[in-house]
Amino acid sequence: MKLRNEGLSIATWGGAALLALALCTPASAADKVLRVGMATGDIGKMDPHVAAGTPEKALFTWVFNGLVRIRPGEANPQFIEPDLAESWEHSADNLTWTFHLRKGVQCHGGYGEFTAEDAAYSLARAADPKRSSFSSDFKSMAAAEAVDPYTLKITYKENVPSVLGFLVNIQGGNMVCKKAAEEMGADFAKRPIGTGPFMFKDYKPQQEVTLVANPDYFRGKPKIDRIDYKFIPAIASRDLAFEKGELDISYGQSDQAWYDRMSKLKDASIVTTEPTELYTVHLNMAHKPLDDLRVRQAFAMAIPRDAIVKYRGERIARVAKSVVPQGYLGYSDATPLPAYDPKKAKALLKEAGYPDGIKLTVVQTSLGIMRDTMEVLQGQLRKAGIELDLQIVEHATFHAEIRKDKSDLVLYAASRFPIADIYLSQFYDSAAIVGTPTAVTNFSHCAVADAEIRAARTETDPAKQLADWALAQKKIVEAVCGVPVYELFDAWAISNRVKLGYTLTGAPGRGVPILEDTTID
Amino acid sequence: MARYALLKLLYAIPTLLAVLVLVFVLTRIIPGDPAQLILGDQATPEAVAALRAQLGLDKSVALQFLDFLVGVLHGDFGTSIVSGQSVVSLAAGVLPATLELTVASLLVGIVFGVPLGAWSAMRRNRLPDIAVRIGSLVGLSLPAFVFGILLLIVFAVQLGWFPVISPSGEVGILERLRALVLPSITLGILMAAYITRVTRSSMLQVLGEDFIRTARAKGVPWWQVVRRHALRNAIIPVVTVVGLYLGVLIGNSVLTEMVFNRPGLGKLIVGALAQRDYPVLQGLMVLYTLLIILANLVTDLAYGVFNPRVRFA
Repeated sequence: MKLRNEGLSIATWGGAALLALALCTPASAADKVLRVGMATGDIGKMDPHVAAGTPEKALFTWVFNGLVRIRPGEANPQFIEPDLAESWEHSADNLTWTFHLRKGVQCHGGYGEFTAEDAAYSLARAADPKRSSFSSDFKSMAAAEAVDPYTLKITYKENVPSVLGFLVNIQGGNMVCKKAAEEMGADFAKRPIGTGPFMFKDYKPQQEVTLVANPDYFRGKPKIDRIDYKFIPAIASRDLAFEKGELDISYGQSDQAWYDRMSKLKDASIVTTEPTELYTVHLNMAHKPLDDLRVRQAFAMAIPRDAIVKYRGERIARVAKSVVPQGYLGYSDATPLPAYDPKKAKALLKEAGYPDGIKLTVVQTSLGIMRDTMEVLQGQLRKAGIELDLQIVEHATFHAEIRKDKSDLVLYAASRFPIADIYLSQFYDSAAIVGTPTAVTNFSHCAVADAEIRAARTETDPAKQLADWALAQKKIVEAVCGVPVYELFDAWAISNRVKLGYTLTGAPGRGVPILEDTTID
Repeated sequence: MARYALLKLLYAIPTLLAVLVLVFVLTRIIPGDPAQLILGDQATPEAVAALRAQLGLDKSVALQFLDFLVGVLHGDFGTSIVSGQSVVSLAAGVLPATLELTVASLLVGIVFGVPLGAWSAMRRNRLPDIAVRIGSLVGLSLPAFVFGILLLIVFAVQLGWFPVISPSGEVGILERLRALVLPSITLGILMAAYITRVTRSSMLQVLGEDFIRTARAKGVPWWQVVRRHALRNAIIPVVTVVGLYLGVLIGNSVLTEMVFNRPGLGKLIVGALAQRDYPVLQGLMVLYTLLIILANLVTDLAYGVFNPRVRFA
């Protein structure tokens, strides 16, 4: 048939054209370019005092500095070291802190030298609820003022658990340049100006942010010339792009199957980092039957933490041991969590007047790991006579609904700055109960340890402070306000061509630090 | 014809308004607070309230709608709540990519769909016909994230012919085309499947007509009968399908855009919905509706080109 022949010739020519297209490879650039893939469709506001998401935070790590920083590669505040401040001292009562700043630090984009005035402006900005998402971290700060261009004085109204902790280069501790922030106004969130090793160059919606090396960086010009920070929401695409060498660093998936598969790749390292996200089931004590301690105890005993961690993956997750994640300053596992015992759970329910078990209504996000975890819990709890009626909603709806107190229990995953106070204050202090004017994320209506949490917050004696935090955790565990299940690490695939220049075990800013010494072959 | 086109565009105005009201009301009915989503879970209620006021979300829905309409009439579609970028620049940034992908996959659909459909009809109930029918069914049921990933594994990772993720930044036309091949095949296969099926059934109908038999009886060569008489008449329903599915194609492109990490309208809309980015949603809906109206208009006008019997009143 003629038509068939015509069809064939179209196909032949089309195929030849495709092949020709396929075989022309692009010329490689001479610059040292680092390509980082992040799990997001796009980036939000690039203002370090506003954006709270992982994709933005990772970017800030490269663009901004703090007065101090945690040694690159670590997440624990015990490794705090100088950043923009070279040294500091404080008064005997801990309420007045004086920081001596580095001289000659330049703001990106020709905005001049970074001085104490910029630092004071940054802190005032971070403490202002109208301009900052992290204002609550600075509520004890009375004032930040420039004594001279290189001396900054911060005064506090009361003792703060970790003054330095809030001044590291994450969240409100990121230092912005005053002139740039004031001149640019809302545009600052589109073209962030900091003092860090890399400078913002370009943003392409849904594609990438390009950063270039800061030639005036105070620790020396970075060896990497450019970072292409690419937004790749689909994990399969990120993995394939990494495998093919189109990405040098890729944000992974906290999943054992992913870990195992990617570990088989040659010339790549798979790294898990702290801080972990603690997955906790918060039991709403204002809802029946969870107002009964025996029911909450039964719930806690019906959850096999070890088995769930095995399911999740032992390289990716670890068993939770307290209501505060492990490694946080003030963490205590002196009071063990209720052991797995479904028989005893059933007996407790019977004793509480529920011989046929109970049924709980749960508003649950459709987000991957969260939903998956809840479905596993649902199966386990059923064995103890606890039925969960899951109402699956998309993530934004979930956040709105749980803050309206609509769910009997809330599965929540969070990582915070590693000091017990923040976790305890946000999740277990009665001031943070959802629906109240001072609400944060106390979904359980827990109010059993207010005295200890608040005393520890302003305690000046470190030993007594630790004791208060331990007692608070004991009370919360015993009252079963929440049932911690597991802690999940962040996972990264890093090409062996990348030489970070330090050992990566922790990333408090949630992004892999790219330093002046980091290079790529 | 110009009068016809103008009339069609005028009809589009009420459609546009209806879509806008729907989008405006629906997005505000579903729970979820953009201010909370932007500020994260550690923000104080005070900070959330301050941001809501700053974004104008504390006003009544009616007032917000009025503000929006006034803005649109002045050509101002607002700025994204999430990124602070103007909606027009966001849409303009991704529109070329969407159009590029849509046109390319349409071409893939037509190049494969029409000849296969015609061939299948001519060999009715024989092996080629059965194979094409099964093939088109597979094409219809293959989700982009399966087919796309398969293509990536074979042609991008194993053979290394194409990039996995579309290059961004300043790239040459050849590089751009190279990155377009796999996405347009992924999306185009769906189109090809539809077109194959419609072409086949339309051709079968036409091939049974009297004028085909007459042409054959006059001794016109078979391939000329097919091309000049059969295909020309059979193509009208195909054009209709192409027009209708052009809209679907723009919407369906989300998964393809995700798998190949291409920017695009679909991805922008889905992202805006997840973040409750009202201005972006509204602005994109206007654009999306306009695109569909335009696609329908082009389809209507195309009838006349393919079939001179069609006249515009």
